[in-house]
Amino acid sequence: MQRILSRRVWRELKANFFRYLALFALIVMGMYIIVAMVGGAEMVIQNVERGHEENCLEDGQFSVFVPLNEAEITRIEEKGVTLEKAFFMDYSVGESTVRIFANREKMNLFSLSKGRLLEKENEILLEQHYAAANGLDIGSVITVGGREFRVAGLGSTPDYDAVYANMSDSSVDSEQFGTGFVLQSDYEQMRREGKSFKAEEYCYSYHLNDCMTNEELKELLQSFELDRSQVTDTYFLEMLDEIEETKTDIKEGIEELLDGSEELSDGLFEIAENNEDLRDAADSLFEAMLEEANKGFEDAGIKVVLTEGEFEAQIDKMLANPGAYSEKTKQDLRDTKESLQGIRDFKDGITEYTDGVHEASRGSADLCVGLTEITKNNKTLNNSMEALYNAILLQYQQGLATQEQLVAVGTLKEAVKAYTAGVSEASTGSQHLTHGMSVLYTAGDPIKEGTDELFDGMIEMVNEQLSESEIEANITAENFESELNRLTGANSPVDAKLRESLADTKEMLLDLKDFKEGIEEYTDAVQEAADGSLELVDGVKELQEEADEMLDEYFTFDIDNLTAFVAQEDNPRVGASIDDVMINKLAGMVAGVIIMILFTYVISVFVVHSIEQESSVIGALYALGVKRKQLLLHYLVLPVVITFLGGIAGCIVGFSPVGVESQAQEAVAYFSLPVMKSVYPLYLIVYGLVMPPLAAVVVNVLVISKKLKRTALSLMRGEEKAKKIKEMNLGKMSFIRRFQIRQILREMRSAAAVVGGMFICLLVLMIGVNCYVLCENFRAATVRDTTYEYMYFYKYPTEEVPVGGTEGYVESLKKEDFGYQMEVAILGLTEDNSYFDVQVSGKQNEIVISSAVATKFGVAVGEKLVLTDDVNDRDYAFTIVDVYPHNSSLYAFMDIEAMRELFEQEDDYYNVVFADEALDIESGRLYATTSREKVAEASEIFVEMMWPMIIMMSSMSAIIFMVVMYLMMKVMIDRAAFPIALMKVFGYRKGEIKKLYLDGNFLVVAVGALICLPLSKLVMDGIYPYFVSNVAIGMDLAFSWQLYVGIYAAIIVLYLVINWLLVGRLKKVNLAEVLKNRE
Amino acid sequence: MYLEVKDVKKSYGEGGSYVQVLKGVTTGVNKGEMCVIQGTSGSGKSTLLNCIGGLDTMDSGSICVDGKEIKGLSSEALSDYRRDNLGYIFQFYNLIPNLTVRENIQVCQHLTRNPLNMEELLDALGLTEHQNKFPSQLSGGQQQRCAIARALIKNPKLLLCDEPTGALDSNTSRDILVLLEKINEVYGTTMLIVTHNNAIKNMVHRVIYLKDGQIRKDYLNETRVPAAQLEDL
Repeated sequence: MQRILSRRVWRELKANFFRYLALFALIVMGMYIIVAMVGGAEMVIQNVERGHEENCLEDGQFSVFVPLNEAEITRIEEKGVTLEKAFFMDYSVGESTVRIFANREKMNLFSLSKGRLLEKENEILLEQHYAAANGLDIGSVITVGGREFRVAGLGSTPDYDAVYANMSDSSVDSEQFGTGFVLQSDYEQMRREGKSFKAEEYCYSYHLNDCMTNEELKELLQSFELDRSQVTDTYFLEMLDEIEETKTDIKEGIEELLDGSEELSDGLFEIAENNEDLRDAADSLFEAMLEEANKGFEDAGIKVVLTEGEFEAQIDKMLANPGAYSEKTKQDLRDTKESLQGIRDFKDGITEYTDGVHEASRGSADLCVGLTEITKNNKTLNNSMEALYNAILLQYQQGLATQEQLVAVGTLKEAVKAYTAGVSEASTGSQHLTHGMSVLYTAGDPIKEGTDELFDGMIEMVNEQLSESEIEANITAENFESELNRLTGANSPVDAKLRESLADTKEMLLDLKDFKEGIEEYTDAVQEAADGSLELVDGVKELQEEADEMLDEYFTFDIDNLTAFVAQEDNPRVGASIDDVMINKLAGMVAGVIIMILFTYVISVFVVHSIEQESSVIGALYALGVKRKQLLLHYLVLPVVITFLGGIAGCIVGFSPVGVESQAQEAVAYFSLPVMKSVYPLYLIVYGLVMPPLAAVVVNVLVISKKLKRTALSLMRGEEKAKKIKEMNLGKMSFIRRFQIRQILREMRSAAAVVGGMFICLLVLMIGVNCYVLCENFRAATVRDTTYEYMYFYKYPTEEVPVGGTEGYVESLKKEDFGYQMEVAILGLTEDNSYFDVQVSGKQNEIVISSAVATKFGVAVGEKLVLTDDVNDRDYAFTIVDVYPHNSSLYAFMDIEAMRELFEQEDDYYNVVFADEALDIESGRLYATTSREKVAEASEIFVEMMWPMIIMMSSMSAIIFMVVMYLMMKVMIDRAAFPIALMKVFGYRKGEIKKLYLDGNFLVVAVGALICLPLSKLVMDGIYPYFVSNVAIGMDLAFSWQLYVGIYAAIIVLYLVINWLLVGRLKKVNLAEVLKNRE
Repeated sequence: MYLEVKDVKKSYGEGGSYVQVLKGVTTGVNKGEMCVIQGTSGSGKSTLLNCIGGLDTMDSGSICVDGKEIKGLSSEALSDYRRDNLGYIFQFYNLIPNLTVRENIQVCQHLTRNPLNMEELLDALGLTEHQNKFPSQLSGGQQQRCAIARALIKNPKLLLCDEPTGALDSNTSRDILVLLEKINEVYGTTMLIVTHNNAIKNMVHRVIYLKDGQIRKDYLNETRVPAAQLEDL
């Protein structure tokens, strides 16, 4: 029986040759895609990793301003770390730059692709792509730094996988930049000749040898003291000078303030010293007035002695006694009282005044103490700053603070605390001073008024005295001296007693005048001192603000201490090719899963259809006693063999030069890689050889097992379970419409099979098309979004923004996505920035994100975006207020001032400049320069790198689509073969049959495509971010409507072609045979 | 004659598998006649019927239906020939399973401008109450009656029946034959019935007996027995 069944297998193959051929081709192509893509990526990955191992890739590298001394190297090596100098110098060679290294011995060894290693002087090893791009080969002569070198070998080094001139570069330009290696002696000679266009870079490569971590090594490096006199980077020195200058300014300002306050204090003490005299004078004056009044009373025979405390009450009592005194005496009493009151007010004013002076004096003393404290702390502050600067010198570019730095910062902190305490004390002192001065100022007026009143009272008293003596005279403030001279002179009409009295009065008035003038000068001086103290307060306030600012500045200072410390995993030059091909690998693996689903699906449809057709045969064989196992084996043989052979063929083609090598070609051409050797990943081989037949086995076993649950008779009769849906009542409608609906209902399962197959095919197609669209949209977005011609990233910004440039402030933060740390650039924009039309809010916690960020991380307006500052171990949570259409870079935008405040930078800080034309900026100040042209080139390269995958995925998926559609539609049309033949027997014409049967199929395909196309796009858009999870670009996968229409049209055309092929075959079928077979 | 078959030859295969199924068959049927083609398996009766029905081509010879030669007609012309002239009844009914009885009949009603009255036909064939049923819901006899109705609805001039009772029991077979007889009487339809059943020859006007691709007997039945009285069906 088994032999008979085996013969039947062969006949089945011959009878359905094209069907099996299509299945075979499908598996071959599917395996080819997966093996080529994943294998190509694996080839690059494994070869690069092999190269890393064989050529001793560094664990990391660091650069310093000054080469490490022997003691420092020993300290590092004692820890078990291997160090090797990787010093280099850049030379101009024609239009290009060659970076010259001394030949390496321990790590990052040169991997030859052609020629030999260095044997003698004046030989050079060149990076292979640079040599090719510049027409250099083995034996060629290249002039570097005026010396001629013969090219001995071409190849690559693992630390320059992506041959970026700067780590911040985004694309490789082999025509413009390459690396070269010469013997140590040649290198030394070249250094001595000093013809490199940039200072020698002191870079070290290291192997940690599992003895330290990167962080520990970095901390060790940061602990080394540096001889600043050895620093050669002028821009870094300039930055230090600026800091020193600021420090000196503060110091000098404080000293000046101290001097000023000391002078003020001296002045106020001087005033205070005169206070006693002033008070004594006022007391004497009042006492003299009392004495004068008492003497007058005594002369008038009035027995009363006025006292300082009660003179008012005493006089009032005298005035209140009617008839006791004459009117004249009463008037005298009133005048006396008024005069005494004026004098007393004056005296009180003087007391208040002197108290004010005392307070001002005390304030100025406090001020002095504060400022002395400040000055005293300046020294500590300076020492701390010095320590900090040295630490900054050691690690000025990157890294965290070491223990020593933290100590230095701690000392600074204490110093600044003391400093600010001094400032605070000075501030308190100045407050006291101001208060005292304010009192003096207000007390000055009553003193002046009191003095005026006293003077006027004396003049009036003299006039009254003269009037009583009937002497004609009008004494005024202006003429009192001459008039009294006249009245007390030799020819005076006045009697001797009065003359004596007038002479005393004149002396008193003269003293009073001097006093009055003195008081005026004195109060003016106090006024000035008050104004000065206000200024002093402002100055001290300013000083306090400066102190606060300084506190902020030095506590938040970016501790970028080493010129560079780059661990291997952070080095964009290392393993860049692996990152690049990882997209292919991930896409290939997802394609592998989808294609396997497709295989399984196609095989299942295939098997279900075949088994249904074979139902009567199975029933007959079953009835004849063939065992289930034999039947299973019988039906398994062909699909398993076909799928197995397909898998083998697919693997062979996949691993051939048209497979993996062609996929790896772009990476090999772009990155500087070691010579590629073929790799055969076991998992791919297992996948290719095992999975297709396994799918066939599983599906067949399931379907046949289900089938064999029916009785043999039922199978032989080909009984089908009536399905309700097929027999539904359609009501009244035209025959044709009714027929078409009945047909669609009947063929729903095969229609579903076609649509399902179409959907899976479209998923495969979408991998390729999405890749194309992503690249193309990225390219277009890059060109569109790059509105500036030049963008300069500063290492050492100048104080003034260069003319023609618009400043910005960039900080790089991180966000994790699919396990990759994506860099998001926070860009602070000024209001007049014309390169980004972004409306930023001005708040520190609000950002506008680029559409690239929105699509990459799936965030929207109103949501929070948490970004991490790895260096300072700090998280920032921002609220997204808007999405700016910018798809080429992961940007978030802020107002520059808010950003400066948030990141604790100075008010005028910037580190990026945009410009419409090239600016004249010293290259040493810059990290990197990006031009619109370079950005466009980089985006082109991105597209070019993806091109092989796009072409293969698109073309292969289109072919797979055709094959699957052929198979699916063949199932559909096969099922319609009998009714079509029957209709022809009845006399139906071609057009009518088409309308009844094939239009329904067309409808299924047309509607199915309408649904499947956007659905598959939606699904693939959901999966796609995983493919490009390691690429920091936006995910603009939007299709143009033309692309949708194109794909849809292609599906329809494809259907029509397949339909034409299959229906064409039906025409040739003998109708009688069809009917006979049916029976 | 309404149907004239002249020296029709038909063979299949090549080389060792070559088989000449019809070896120069010549016969004819008058209009309105019921004719039975009998013969053993492999005698060529179904092949002859298929050639007459334009479902199969002949190697040589001539077949004229109502004076029109069908040999050499294009595929489209053959479709028109079948459409305008023929009705088919098959042994296994060949009803379209997803169409109701009425819809199955409509398949052929749709092909003519002057179909018979559907209701009358359904009534005549006893299908009125089953008209909305699907084939799977009918008995074999009912299915064959549906197939007959389908063939008759366009009032064909020539009805080709290939073993019309081959899958039916004797009572049902009789019913079907009575029906065919009645149709012949009512509509004057010319009928060509291929059958193994020896009893059927008694009810028809003409009997053709084929053996090894040749006509052994071709005679008019002078002693017709009404279908209802046929025995040993």
